[in-house]
Amino acid sequence: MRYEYTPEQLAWRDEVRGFLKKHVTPALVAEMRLAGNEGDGPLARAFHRKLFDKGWWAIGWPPEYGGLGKRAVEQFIFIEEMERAGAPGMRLSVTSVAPAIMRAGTEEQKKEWLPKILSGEVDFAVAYSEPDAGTDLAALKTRAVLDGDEWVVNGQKMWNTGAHTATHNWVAVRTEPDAPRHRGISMMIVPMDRPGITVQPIYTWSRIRTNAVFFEDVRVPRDHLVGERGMGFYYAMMALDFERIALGSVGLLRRFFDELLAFVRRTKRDGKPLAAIPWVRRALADLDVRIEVGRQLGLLNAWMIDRGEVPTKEGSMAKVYVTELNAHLAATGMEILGLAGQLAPDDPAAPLHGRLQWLYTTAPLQRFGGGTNEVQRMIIAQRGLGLPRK
Amino acid sequence: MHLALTDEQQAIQQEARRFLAAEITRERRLAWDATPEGHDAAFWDAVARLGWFGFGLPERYGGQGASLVELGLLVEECGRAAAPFGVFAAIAGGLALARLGTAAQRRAVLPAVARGEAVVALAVAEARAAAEPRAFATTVRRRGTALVLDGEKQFVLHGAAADHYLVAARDGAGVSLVLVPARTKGVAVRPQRTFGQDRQAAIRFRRVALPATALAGAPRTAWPRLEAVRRELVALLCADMVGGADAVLDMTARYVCEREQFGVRIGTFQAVQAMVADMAIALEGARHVTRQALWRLAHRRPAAREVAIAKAWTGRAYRLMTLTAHQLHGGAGYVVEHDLHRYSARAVEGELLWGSTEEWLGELAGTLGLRAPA
Repeated sequence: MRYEYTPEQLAWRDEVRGFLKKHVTPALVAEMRLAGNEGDGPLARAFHRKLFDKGWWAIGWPPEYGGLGKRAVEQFIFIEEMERAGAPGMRLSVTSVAPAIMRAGTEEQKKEWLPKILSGEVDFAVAYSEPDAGTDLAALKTRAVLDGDEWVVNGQKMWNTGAHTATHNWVAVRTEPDAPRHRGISMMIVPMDRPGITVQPIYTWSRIRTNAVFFEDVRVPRDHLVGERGMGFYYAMMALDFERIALGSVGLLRRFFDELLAFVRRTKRDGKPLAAIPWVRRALADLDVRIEVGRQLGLLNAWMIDRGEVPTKEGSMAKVYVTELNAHLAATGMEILGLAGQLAPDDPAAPLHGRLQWLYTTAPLQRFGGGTNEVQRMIIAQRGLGLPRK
Repeated sequence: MHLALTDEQQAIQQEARRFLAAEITRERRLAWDATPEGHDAAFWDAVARLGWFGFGLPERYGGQGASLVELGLLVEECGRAAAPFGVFAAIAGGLALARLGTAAQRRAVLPAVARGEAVVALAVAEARAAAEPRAFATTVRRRGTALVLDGEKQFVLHGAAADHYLVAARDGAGVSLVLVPARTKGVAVRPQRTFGQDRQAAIRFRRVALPATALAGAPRTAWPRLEAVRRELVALLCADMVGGADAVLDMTARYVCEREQFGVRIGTFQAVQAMVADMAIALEGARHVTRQALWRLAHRRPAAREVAIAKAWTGRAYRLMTLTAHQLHGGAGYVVEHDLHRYSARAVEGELLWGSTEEWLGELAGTLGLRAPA
C-alpha cells in the first residue's frame, strides 16, 4: 500500500507541470475562454503542436505506434495537470478512437490510420447517437449496405460534436439488419469530404456547438469498416472505456477551487472579508473534501487499469461522482460570488471571468453524456454489487 | 501509488474477520446488551490472546509494533463486526499512552495493556469543553512537589472499566497531561448511558493527590502533542466507520436481492439500485481517504489536511448510509434483533466523537489560508 505517487510519478508530474507552466500562457487561456473551451483557436493549435513536438500527443499509445506507452496512473497525472493548468483538452481521435482501432482494427487499418491520427492529418468526430438512439445506443437506425466495393450509408446522427471541423467521422452504423440488435452494428470510418453528408449546427446552453449530421447515399470504401462486422456496439463501448481515465480527473475542479479560494481571500462584502463569513469557510472546506474524494475515485480507477483489472464499477463511480461534483462546485461557487456570480463571461466585471457559469452550463452535459448517470448507477448496482437485472 | 494490501495485511483482515464472525453470535450479543461492560470476560480474554491490545504498541513493552496502516485494518474489522466498542477504546487508550506517556509510565503500564489486563482511557472532553483547552474546568495545581487534580471529564470511552486515566487538565496558562490510576482516592466514576450503548463514563476528580511522576511529558505544553495523537486516533476511528459502512452496504445489497414485493425482487427497481449505488460511491471514497490518512500518518508525512478530510467525509457518509439502509430494509431492519441499529447508532457516535463533521470542516477551512473570523 502506498497512498503517494512514486518518485518516478512525481518526476513525471513535475516535468508535465514545468512544460505547462511555460506553454499555457495567459493569452492561450483567454483564447480558450472566448472559444468556449473547444480549443480550436490558433493559440490552442500552436499549443497542440508543441505537445506533438514534445512527443506528448499520444502519451498512452504503445511505443510501436509512436506513443510514450505511459501507464494509466501516469496518464491520469498528465490529464490532471493539463486541466489544472487550463490547457486545451486532448483530441478524442487520440484518446478514444485510436485505442479502439488498435484493439479492433486489422493490421492494414492500424498502418493506415494510426500514423495519420498521430500526425493530426486525420481528426475524428464521434457519431454514435441518433434522434431515437441515445442511452439505448443499440436502437440506432443509420444503415450501411454493401454495394460492390463500397458501403452506402443512409441515416442521421445527433450530437456529432466537431463534425464541422473533423476530417473523418467515427460512425456506428447498422450493417446486419437481421442480427440481434446489439450484434448488427459496425464501426465505420467516414471521410467528411464524401458527397451526401450534410452538417447542421446545433448550439447548446454551454455555447458549445454540436451538430446533427445527415448521410444520404454516402459511399465509403469497403475497408473503412473497422474490425469485424456486427461487433461495432462492443467497439463503441470499448472506446468509451478509454475515456474513463479522464473521467475521474478533478484537475479542472481543483483549478476552479483554487481560483475561488483566491477570490475569497481578496474580496470583501458588506465590509467584511468573505474569508471571515462562516458559511463561506464551510462551503470551501466541504468542496475541498469532496474534490479529494473524487481524486481518490479517479486514482482507484486508473490504478486498477494498470493492474490489468477491468474497473467497471469503479469507472462508473468516478463518472457519477465527479460529474455531479462539477454541478455542485459551480453552484456553490456562484453562490459565493454573490450577485456578481450571474455576470456573463463577456462582462468585464465578471469574477473569475464568468468561468463558473461555463462550468454550470456544461455540468448537465457531463451528467447525461458519456453514459447517463442513471445507467452508471445501474452498472454499479448490477455489475458491482450483484443486484438483479430482473 | 499502490492501493492493494500485501499478503500479510490481507491475513490480518481475514483472521480478524473470521474470529469476530465466530465469536460474536446473536445470542452472545443480546446477552452483552444486558451487562454493564457490554461484553464478557471470555470475549475480552480471547481478544487479548490474539494480541490485539498490544498490536500497535512498541515491542519493548510487549506489543507487536504494527503501524497505523495495519492497526487500521484490524480496527476496520472491529467496525465491520460492530464489535464491542470497548475493544477500540482500549486500543486507542493504549496508543495514546504509548505516544504521550513518560518512559517510566510506559514501562509500568503498557505491558499489562498489551496483555489485555489493563485499560488506559483518554479523558479530554468535559461537559462544557471538548477542543478548547482554555475552557477546561479541570485543573492541576502544585502542592509542594505533589500535584492536585480537580474537575470532571466526560464521555471517557470505556471509562467505567478503565484502570488508568490519561487526563488533560488546565495547568496555569497551558495544559498538562496526568496519568491517574482509577483506584486513587478522590476518583469517582459515573456511567453515561449513550445511544450506542458503548459504556462511556464521567470521571470526577476531587482533590486527587498525585506524585509529580504522574505528569505525562513536560507540563503546560501537552496540547499540541495531544492534538497530534488525536489525529491518529481520529484516523483509526475512521477505519472503524469504514468497516461498519462496508457491513451496512453488504447487508443492504443482500437484502434487496432477496426481498420480493409485487412479485419481483426489490433490487430490480431502479430507484433501489440508485440508492445502493450511491452508498457504494460514498463508501469507496471513505475507504480511500481513510487509508490515505492512515498511510500518511504511519509514514510521517504531513497529514493534518488528509485526516480532516477523512473524518469529515467518513462520518457523514457512514451515518447517511445507515439511514438509506433503514429505508431499504423497511421493517426487517427496524426490529431490535436485527443488527442494523447497532451500526446506525455507532455511526452517529462516530460522527460526533473527537470532532464532528462540521468541526473538522472548520479545522480544514483554517488550513486553506482563510483568515479566521475575529
